[in-house]
Amino acid sequence: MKTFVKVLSIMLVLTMVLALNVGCSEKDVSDKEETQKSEPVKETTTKENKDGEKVEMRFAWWGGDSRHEATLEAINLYMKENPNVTINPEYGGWDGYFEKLVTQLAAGTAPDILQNHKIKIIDLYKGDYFVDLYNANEMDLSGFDKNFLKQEGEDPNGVLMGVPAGIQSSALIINRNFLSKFDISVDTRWTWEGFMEYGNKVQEKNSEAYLLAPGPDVLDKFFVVMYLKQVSGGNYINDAKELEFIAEDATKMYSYIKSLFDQGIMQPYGETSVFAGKADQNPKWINGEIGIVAETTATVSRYLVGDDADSMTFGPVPVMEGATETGVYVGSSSLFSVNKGSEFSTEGNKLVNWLVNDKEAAKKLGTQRSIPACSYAKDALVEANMIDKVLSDTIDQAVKLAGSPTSPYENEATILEKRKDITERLIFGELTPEEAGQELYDSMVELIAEIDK
Amino acid sequence: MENYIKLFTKDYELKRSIIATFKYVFFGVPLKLVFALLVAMILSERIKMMNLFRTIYYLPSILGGSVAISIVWRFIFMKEGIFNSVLKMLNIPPVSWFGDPNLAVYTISMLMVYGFGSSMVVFLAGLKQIPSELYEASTVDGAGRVRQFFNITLPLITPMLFFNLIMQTITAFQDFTSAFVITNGGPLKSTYLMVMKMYIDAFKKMKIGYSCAFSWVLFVIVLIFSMLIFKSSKKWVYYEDGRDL
Repeated sequence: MKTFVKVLSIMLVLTMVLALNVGCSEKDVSDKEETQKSEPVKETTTKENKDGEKVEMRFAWWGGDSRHEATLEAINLYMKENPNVTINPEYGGWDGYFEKLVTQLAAGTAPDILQNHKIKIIDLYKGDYFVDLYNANEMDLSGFDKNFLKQEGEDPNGVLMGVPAGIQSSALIINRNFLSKFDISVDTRWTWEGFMEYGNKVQEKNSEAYLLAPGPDVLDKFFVVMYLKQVSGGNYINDAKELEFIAEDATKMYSYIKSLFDQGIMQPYGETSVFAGKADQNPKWINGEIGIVAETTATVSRYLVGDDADSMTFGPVPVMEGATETGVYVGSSSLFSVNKGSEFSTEGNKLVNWLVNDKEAAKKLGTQRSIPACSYAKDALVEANMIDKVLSDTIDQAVKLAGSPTSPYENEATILEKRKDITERLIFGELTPEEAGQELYDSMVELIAEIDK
Repeated sequence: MENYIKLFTKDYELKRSIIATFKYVFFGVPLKLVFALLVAMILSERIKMMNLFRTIYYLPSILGGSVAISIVWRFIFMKEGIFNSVLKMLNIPPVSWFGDPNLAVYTISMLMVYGFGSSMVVFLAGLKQIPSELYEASTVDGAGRVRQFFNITLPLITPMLFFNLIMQTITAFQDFTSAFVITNGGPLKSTYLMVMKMYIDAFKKMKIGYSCAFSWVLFVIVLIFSMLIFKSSKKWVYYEDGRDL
């Protein structure tokens, strides 16, 4: 008996050791074996569905409640017009959406149509998961700006992974009531120096109120990266995977960020970090104790909450005098993609085409994904007087100031996490601005070399 | 093998993740067991409506780990939350429970302590088995309640304590929900539990193989601690039938 137990134990240990080495291969979910990759197909890449065939599809998206309601109305309209089609909606918040999607894509259980985002293209394109919409016969792309399609929806291999649902830009959401309380003009043209000046004014009057309150994601996107681009005159990382800033530029940026927190211009990081991805739930914003939030125009409706909801307005983000690279973000709010593994990808293409081109679809979706990127849909909303003029003007201003297109490597997952980590350590005093600047530069060099390995 | 080399030589998150997890486990588990034992002792007394109280105290352990409760916890302990409002009433300055890197991990481990019900039930069963004659005899000899606890109660419930310690330690090492929902691993990676790191490596950074390698590291850590507890149990676990493990 003892010998049997000994032999069994040894066999179990050997199995574990084997699993340790075999089970933890280098391959990532976004990789596929070279031999399995097929040549780019010039003809249609979708499966043909017979006309009138009963179709049941799943459609996934993220957003707030108002976007969910609008999208459900659009889906119901499509199903009414196409009685053979049943669309099962799957929706939720941004948090966890892509983590779930990646798992589903790896397992082959992803929805048929899904909302996608440009920043995820670099992580997902190697898996060859999506229909090339350039080659989908059902898609009418004539209403899109070709450069915008290329910039927002194409992967590094030239495959159109998704069509832009809307065009959005960075914007400031401004609480007019708050500004009035602190004798700040609503027409103030916001600058980086202006944030400091007026932020101090707010703090002097009420130390519990703050001019700005960015969570970790907004701090990274709108302050760290944008300020760095303006200081350096470069695009952070270009498409050739070269850094376009030096450590000294990063030091200047981190000095500014640190002073925003040290002087109380920004709500303490520890208080806003619990609302990462859900800054609209910050009680201080709801209670009108925050003056300005920086966001993208596609998400503004979430912030129109609380007693001051009706007093919100929008404005352009700050740009340094003489900046050769503004870093002002203009891009797609989201993309609509079709799952290549879907049984009904032809119908999926038809649905996506309808969502972005059809006038009635545009009226149902409204500006829940910002102003439509397709001219036909945008014209329909202008005709129906459904576009907020101030929002539209803000986007137009941003387009005039638009920076270079964001490189896909800028927000690659490991790069983004490292950048946020350095910013956090700066804010909590673990790093000086000089140390943070040098570490940002050194770590970016190292991580860029790791991409595609 | 490359994954393991990279993990131990280049991963800047590894150390912080392990430290956060150890703090979470070594603070939360003993506190949970102490609390569970305390409540079990109260509930082992003969009081009216005892079954109702036992049900009420068990309820949190059913709800304990859920996303909804984590969100409630966030609202209780955030800067403008209920807890700070109570402190304000007592003229104590508000505390940044989730925003202070030195406090955040202990605050989320309190959520684990909140789900003490299952441990409490095991202790209750153990307390019921202790013969009352031992207490009567000790009372005759002049022993007070405290002496009775340390000399009668505690030695006789060590098997239950051992069971709870093993089970809660293993579970605590695998906790994820509270850190993910409330603090997202921050601030400053102070709540970046090991399972959360695994999740982010696998599904955000899409390095599933690397995450798998890290899961084996967690397995070895849990195995080592379990073995240490088993080894030490010979010195402090008392079985009435005198058997050894």
